Amino acid sequence: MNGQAPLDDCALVDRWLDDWLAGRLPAAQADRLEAHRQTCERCARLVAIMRDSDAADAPGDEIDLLAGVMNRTAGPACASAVEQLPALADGEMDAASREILQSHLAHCDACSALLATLQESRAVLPTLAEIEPPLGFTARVLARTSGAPRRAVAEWWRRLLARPRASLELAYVGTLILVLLVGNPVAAFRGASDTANRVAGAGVERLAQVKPPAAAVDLGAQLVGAFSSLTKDVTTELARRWEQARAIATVVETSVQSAFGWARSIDVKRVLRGAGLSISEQKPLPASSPSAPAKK
Amino acid sequence: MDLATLLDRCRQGDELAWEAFVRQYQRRIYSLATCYATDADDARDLAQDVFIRLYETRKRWADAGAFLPWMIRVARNLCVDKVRARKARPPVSDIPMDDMVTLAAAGGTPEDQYEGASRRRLFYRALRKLTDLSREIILLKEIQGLQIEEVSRLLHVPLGTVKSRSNRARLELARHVLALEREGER
Repeated sequence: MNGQAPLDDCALVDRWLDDWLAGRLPAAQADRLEAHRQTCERCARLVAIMRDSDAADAPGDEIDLLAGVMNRTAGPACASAVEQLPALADGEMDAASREILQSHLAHCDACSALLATLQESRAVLPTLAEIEPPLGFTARVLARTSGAPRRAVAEWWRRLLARPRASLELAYVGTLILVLLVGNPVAAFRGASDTANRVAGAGVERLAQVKPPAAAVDLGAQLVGAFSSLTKDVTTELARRWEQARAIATVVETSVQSAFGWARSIDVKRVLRGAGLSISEQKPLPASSPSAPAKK
Repeated sequence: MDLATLLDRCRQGDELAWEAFVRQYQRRIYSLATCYATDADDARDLAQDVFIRLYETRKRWADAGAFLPWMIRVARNLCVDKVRARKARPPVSDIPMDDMVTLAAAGGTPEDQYEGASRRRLFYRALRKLTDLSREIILLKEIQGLQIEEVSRLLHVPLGTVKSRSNRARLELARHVLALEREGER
């Protein structure tokens, strides 16, 4: 359609188009361009667009042209439009931006559908804040929370005793209490306290050689004083209890010895004879019984 | 009874007030738990654990004015802890939602109610297809109605990130809804 001469005419159309459409072009030149327009599809469309003719408003042509232009310039506008859809759905967009976006939405089904779903989500999502729980939910929660503190203590005690080392810990505590109350019954450890005191004394002597800061000395003196006071109190209390326990043990021992002495002094045979009873003395069995001769 | 009175009575150990409290908030807590649960039983157990935690800490409850965001924060943190303890992330797979949630019917004709419930189920299914952060932002901000500052504090995410991720999450949700609609039409 477009040979060498029409190409030149296309260039002329581009150059003289404004003057031609405004009627300022000489007749000869206007006729030449008109003749070319009738034979050149490209220039015919260009003139139609410039004249805002009906042909230029054909939807298919506009969309094709728009898509072509966008693809070759800024790229498809959907990405930019989608970014602004939440603001439009929330009504947080200024008038100019809203008008521009709505002009895109008027021709873009995908973005329009997305906007409609966004607007719907604003109404639907808050209704998901409450969902009916299954039947019996309230009763189960109340059953698990009524009297919870008591159950918590019981559960704690049960777990404490269920541990594998619970028996060892109880035995340790029991032994400790026993030793504190009645003294150390194990001979191998009777001298342990003396050894411990000797070691502690040596440690204290060595510590005394160290020159600590004044504040530390004060604090240390306070701690030593407090510890000495505590030790004195504990020792006094233990001694008092020990004396009590020893007095009780002496009384018990005396009573038991008296009871044994009285029991030994009783002549059992005489008592039984007095009661009309007799005890046959057991004779030792012979080495071999004559009624049961060994079989040969 | 206003919320402040109800909370006070619960703090004092009033069992009836506690029952009223459970009835008032069980739907909300259950809804939140379903977003972290693997199935209906798991959601029920999570929701129960939330209430037990609330009961145990009732002496330290927030005041009425700030109670709802505080309760949602407690519930969310407990759900996350439980899910982590199971060494599993909140599920992203689609599960039979008809078995899991009973969405309250709105007013209107039976047709409207059916249509509304269908749409809510569709959005719920789409919600479970989102990424973890997107789903939590939608859950806390759009569904539970927390302020964006509260969501930021709760998720330990900067305020600007919550804003931008919120819009992105809503778009992501809308795309999933449209995709599910197309699947349903096939």
